[in-house]
Amino acid sequence: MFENLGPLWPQICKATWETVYMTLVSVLFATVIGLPMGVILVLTDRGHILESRLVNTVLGWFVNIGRSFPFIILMVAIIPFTRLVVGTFIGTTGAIPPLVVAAAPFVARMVETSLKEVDWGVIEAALSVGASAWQVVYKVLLPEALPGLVLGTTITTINVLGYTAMAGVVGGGGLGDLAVRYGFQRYMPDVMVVTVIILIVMVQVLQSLGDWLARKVNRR
Amino acid sequence: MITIENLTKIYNTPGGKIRAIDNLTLHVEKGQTFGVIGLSGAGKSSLVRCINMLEKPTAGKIFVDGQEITALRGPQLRAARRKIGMIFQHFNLLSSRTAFGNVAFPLEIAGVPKEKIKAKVTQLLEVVGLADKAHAYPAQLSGGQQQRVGIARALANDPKVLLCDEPTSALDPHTTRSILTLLKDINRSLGLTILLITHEMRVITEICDMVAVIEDGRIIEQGPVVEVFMHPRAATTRNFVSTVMNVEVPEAVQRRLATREDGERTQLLRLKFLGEAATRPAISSVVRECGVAINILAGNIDCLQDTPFGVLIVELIGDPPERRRALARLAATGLSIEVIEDV
Repeated sequence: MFENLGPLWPQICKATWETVYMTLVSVLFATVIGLPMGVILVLTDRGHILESRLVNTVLGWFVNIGRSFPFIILMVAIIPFTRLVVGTFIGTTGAIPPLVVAAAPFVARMVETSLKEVDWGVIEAALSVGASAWQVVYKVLLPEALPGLVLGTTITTINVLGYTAMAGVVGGGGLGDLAVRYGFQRYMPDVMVVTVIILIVMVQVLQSLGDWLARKVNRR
Repeated sequence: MITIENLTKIYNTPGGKIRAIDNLTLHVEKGQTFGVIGLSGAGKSSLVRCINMLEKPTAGKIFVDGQEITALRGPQLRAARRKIGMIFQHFNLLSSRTAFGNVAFPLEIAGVPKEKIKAKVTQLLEVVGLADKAHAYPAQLSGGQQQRVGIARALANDPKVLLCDEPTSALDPHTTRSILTLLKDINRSLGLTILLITHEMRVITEICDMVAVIEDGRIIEQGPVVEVFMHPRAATTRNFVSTVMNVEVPEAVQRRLATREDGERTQLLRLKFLGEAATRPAISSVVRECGVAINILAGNIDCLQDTPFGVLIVELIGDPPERRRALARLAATGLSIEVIEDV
């Protein structure tokens, strides 16, 4: 039953690496973009230290629009943008901009939710000793919300891992693409089983790592 | 040190406008421990938050150490806040930092160099008696210890004023006492002006020099604690005083008095004495000199900081002329006497 695995092993390894690469790079950039967006969403919220109805509403809409697209449609819809950013819209690299665009709003909402968990009294205490908005963000909000942010990032990463399966549409490669082309279209059940097992292991490892790290940074 | 002029704070809520503070004026002298007491919703929390502009006043002016806080914005306001320490009911420590890290926080905010921070934090933790807990996280500390960290944090930038927002309301009576003692020590040793808000009269009698009673956003009564305590005028004030000095005729005694046969010969009195008067043997001398008997039914003797203070309910027994003489004699010793008509 596992006769296909021998000859296809190099391709399985390559696809695994592509999945890891797409996931990690996308999460990295999605965090770089989504984290500030989440922070701004919190600070500009009603009653918060930089309350601004305009900024909050506009950014909120922007994030919601980003989250409305099914990934497969988003990927095709933003092809011009992808070409502009990375010079191509195909291949593993071509899959990264759409993954970032899909994940960044998710990260923004995740960050927003985590930061809103921080007790307002602690923010007041920081303000009462003369902290500026920026100091409140990086000395209070982010450190206090760290366990939640770690867990949120774990969820984001696992979500992005799921999205990468669709990257095959633009020739992005990865395990999902391998499973469709060989496991499904050429009817090689062994390839299908192996890719699924690898994905399961990846998700388990990511989740355990996230849980462990969140516990480690939690001082409550 | 703190002057509040015609302060008004109005909250716009979906249910309409709420006037939390209504044209309030208050003055706190340098070095005083000033207590503001009120029921929940009286506006005391808004009041203390306006002083360091955590809440923006709707109208009015606030001066701290001669500086008009209400006129400051941005960096100037942040600089002024460093000189106004604040402690909170729920301590509000950073859970991600150790005791040391929490006390270091205001110094980091002020841009103090690392070496100086270490020395200052070590000294402050010693002041509050937590030198051995420097590396403990708030979750590992008891409520009282957390409040001590809060106090050390509030003192980090050598403030001139310490605002206390219900500092002991989340603590048990024993811990409350130790925290209040610490605050009083700091008040005396550093000459720090303290403005404290609370709903507990005990806190006021324990450490405050001056008290103001707040109701519906207005100060309804204020003065030296001893004065207000002895002669409360407003009903709310009397209620607060009675929470620590609740001396009523016990029910068993009431029943006995209701069925007594020689009712004509007795009178119930509530005697209050304070300071000097408490040190004189007034009752025994009256008994000796006026030919009456005095039966003590209930009582409470306590100290308002260093001033002895007490309330006694007594039964004065004797014929009317002797009783009149005894009353006059008691009044002459400086006791405050109230004849209880109905038992």
